[in-house]
Amino acid sequence: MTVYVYAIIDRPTIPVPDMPGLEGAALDTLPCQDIGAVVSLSTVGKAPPVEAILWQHETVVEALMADHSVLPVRFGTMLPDEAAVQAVLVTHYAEFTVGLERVRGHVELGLRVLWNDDSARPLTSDQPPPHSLGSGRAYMLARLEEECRLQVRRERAESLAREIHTPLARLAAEATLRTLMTPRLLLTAAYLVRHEQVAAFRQEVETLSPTYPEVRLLCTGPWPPFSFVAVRNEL
Amino acid sequence: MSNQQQPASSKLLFEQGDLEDFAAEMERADNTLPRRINADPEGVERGLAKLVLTLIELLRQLLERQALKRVESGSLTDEEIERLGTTFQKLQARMEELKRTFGLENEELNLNLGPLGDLL
Repeated sequence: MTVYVYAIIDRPTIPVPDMPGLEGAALDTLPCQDIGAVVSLSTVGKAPPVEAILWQHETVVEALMADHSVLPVRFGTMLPDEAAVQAVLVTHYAEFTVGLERVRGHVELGLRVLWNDDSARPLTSDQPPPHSLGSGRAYMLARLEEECRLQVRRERAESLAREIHTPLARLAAEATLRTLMTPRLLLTAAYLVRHEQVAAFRQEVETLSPTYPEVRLLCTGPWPPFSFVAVRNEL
Repeated sequence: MSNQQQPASSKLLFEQGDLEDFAAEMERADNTLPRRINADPEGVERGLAKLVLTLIELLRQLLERQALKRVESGSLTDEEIERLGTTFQKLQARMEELKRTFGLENEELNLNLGPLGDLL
């Protein structure tokens, strides 16, 4: 029998949501002063990361968000027994309290931006490989040209990503962004947004979209604040 | 327990075009994230080959960029450019062979350095 952990919450005296956890087990809160860990007992051990089970974990965490500030715990986190969970709560009490304060009243929204430009593919993939060009000099000049082209593309990507990101970041308490994780994935961003700002955020995404015909936007959420205070190293 | 399941579509606030495109690109991005080295013997060999080739590729690219800067600045003679070019061509050809041997794609030869971004 091991203990499966869903989230760290504030106000641990509020009863857990009336819903089953993983393996149909009952949810329970293990309190520690004014915070707590929401857990269920597991008899089968490690949960496989299949869609239905991932959603079940997600649904529990989201249900908790109705009444609590929530630090989501990574899917699949298990500890040997309740004492081990208590020990983590005691050891990391200060960090958890700060984290809970930071996300209070906020949800996470995700944004992915695909760039439909023609220069996404590196030249080398649709041209003969440079080593068939013949002379070393021709190779170097071809490489130089490609480097310049890539540099121009990177600069364009950075400025385009900033233009899209900036008005959205204004509606968020915090944001994370990465540009060009792949040549087409212009922007990967997460925003920590107040509940009541979600509609305005969505509206802003919709307003931005026709301004940039060269990109396609995908906005998802609301999610628990995984990107901002996900509990990883503590457990 | 069906009342617990929510359709993934309930999480879409705004979408443009085919979701499959986004999914494919995110999977590609995910391939560059650090993973634990697989413990089965073949996985370990490939994992190590990937790590070693990534480092070689990093050095190759650094040297090549350095050389390109010198070409650009005009500080090299035609003969020197020719020699450098031939060397880098050979290096690249050798890298291609090694990648084929271990079944690695270009985009796999990268390391995610967390907040520092990608290695290459």
